[in-house]
Amino acid sequence: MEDINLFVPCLVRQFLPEVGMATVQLLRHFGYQVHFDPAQVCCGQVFINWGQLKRAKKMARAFLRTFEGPALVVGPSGSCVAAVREKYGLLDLEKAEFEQWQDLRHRLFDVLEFMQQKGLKVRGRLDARVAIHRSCHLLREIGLDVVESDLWAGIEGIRVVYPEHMAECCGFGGVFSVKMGEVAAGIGRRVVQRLVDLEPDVIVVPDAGCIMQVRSVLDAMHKDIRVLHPVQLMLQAING
Amino acid sequence: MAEFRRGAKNLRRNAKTAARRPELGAVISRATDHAIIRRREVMQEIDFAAQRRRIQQLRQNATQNLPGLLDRFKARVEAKGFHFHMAVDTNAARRIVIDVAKRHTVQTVVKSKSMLGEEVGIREALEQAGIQVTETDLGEYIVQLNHEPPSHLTAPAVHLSTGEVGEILYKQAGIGPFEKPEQMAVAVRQFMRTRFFNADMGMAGANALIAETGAMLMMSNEGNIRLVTSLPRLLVVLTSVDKLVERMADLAPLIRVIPKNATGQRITNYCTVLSAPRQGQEVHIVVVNNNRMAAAGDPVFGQAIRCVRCAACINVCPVFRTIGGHAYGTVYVGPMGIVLTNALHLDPHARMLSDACTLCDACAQVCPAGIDLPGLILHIRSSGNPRLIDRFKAWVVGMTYAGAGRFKAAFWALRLFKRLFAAGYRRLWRMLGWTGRRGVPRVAGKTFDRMWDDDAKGD
Ligand code: SF4
Repeated sequence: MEDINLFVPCLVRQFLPEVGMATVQLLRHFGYQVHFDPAQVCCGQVFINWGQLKRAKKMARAFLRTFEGPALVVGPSGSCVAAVREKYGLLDLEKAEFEQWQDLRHRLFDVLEFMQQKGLKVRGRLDARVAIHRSCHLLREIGLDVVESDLWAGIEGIRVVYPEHMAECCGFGGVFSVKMGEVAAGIGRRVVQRLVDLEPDVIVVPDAGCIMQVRSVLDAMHKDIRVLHPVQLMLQAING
Repeated sequence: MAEFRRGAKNLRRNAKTAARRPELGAVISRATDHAIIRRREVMQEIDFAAQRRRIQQLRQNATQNLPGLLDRFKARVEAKGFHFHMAVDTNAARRIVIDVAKRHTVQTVVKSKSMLGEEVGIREALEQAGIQVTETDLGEYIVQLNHEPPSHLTAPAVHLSTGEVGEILYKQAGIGPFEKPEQMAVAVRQFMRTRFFNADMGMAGANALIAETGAMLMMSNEGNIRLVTSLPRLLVVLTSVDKLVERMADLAPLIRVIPKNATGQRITNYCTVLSAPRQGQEVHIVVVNNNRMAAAGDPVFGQAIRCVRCAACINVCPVFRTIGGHAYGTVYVGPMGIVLTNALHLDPHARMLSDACTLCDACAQVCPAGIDLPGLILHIRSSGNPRLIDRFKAWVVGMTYAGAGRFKAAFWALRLFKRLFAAGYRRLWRMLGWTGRRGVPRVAGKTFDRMWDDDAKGD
């Protein structure tokens, strides 16, 4: 059995633990041995996004230490993975750290991306109309389109719908969500309304920050629609 | 517009005002959606990636060689009888234009839409000199009547609904009242004809300046540019040095891509190449610098000068689509506005604009000049001194994130707080800035760590 070191983004750990556990169960389902090191904290994306690069560098150093090789690292967050892969270059890392980073970049994956690359297919059944929100960083930085991907191909009964005209940001944006709260909410209202208009049974959102944002907006709209990460939905399909 | 204040320093407050008017976001996102959908359709007819490489390359060649191209352009146009002026900044540009107008005792000007005109405030300057200026693009005329600046590069009145436009035309110009956009357009067109025939001076911008031939490309959908440039005996072309390209052939990808990218049109209705003054016409070309030459050589911001003002990045920006252009408080808005305002030092508080971005990357995907807009915005965000309050917040979060023990303890405290004071918990989030019409994030009753441990015990 191949080993996987689990990367649990800070928001998942404290706000959406069920997404983390679903990731664990799904990886086990595919035969991986999953490990979790509780010494991890944060990849530093919060601070990079904030423009606080000195603090981000400290987080990055700790992150690189926690996930020293050679095991694969997998976590449920396209934006965190993209931040490590693409944005650590802004941090002016020392030589040794830079090498650690180069090594990690190639064995760190978002869980959905990992499934795609390894050709891991979920087989099962789920009778539901599922509206998909395509989270920005997974789509545009990792390059995985949750709609177009064949992640759903093996699930019978599922009907996938999505706003076709564009993949618009939900308005979370990390620090943006608290720096420009009213605008974040305004974007959220518009974008979530589009999802609600599709009359789904479930809304699927593939990143932790976006899940928080979409849920908050639905709360204020008094809409009782479940918001799940794809791995949760897949697990449901497997368990029939 | 009165509700929005000019100046980047008012961004936060303006944005709040705008976000509280969901009708505004509804109107703007509906209009820009049309452009986005059409864009996707017509882009299937060309190889966008290949065209983008060409445009990026030709713009890069040009922006890295501005002084040389400028000299060539100047020599060519002067040889053809154009009058050439270089304006280092806004004041110089205004002075040159007003001097020309005064020398010819100009009383009325017909003008076509130009962002550079907005940048140097040329309409206001002419009006202050007692000259009547008529904007001849429909959208621009409407915002002129409404005493507000344009809210978008290519669609200046995108923030107004059809109903609002009808009302403005009727109240401010006595045109109408009409309900259908077509009726409004026809009526304005008729009214404009007399203005064109009676104007003492025409004023236009340019989309590209061709160094090789000393010609200028002008693109328009309404045909007004042809009238502005051909009817009056006196013409001023107010443009900027970054519009230079080297060769005539460079126009091809620009003409092919810009309209598709901007509005989803296959081609702009009227593409005019002005290559010589017509007989008896006096034409002045005013090329404004306003920090562009220096910015073009900047290792970070140099790429921003490649911008061809297609506005595609604005159409896809979630922030723009929600708050509109006026809330930025600056002439250039949306992703390119954030970047250009900083690159050209157009506003002393330009840096604050970098807050108006979710870093969603949508803009980078559509930019035909290959500008890394999110990267530059992040660069702006991380340079200079953050405000004290932000430094403090970052310090607080930094401390709680500085180790796994603290991290767990902090969230343990938050969890406890939530259990004890439900209302206080909500208020805490509002204080942190999680405001607007949305609920607050719910910290989980059981952390992932607990679930993991429980699961291990269960085995
Ligand atoms: S930055 Fe790019 S997408 Fe935006 S207006 Fe300029 S050329 Fe167009």
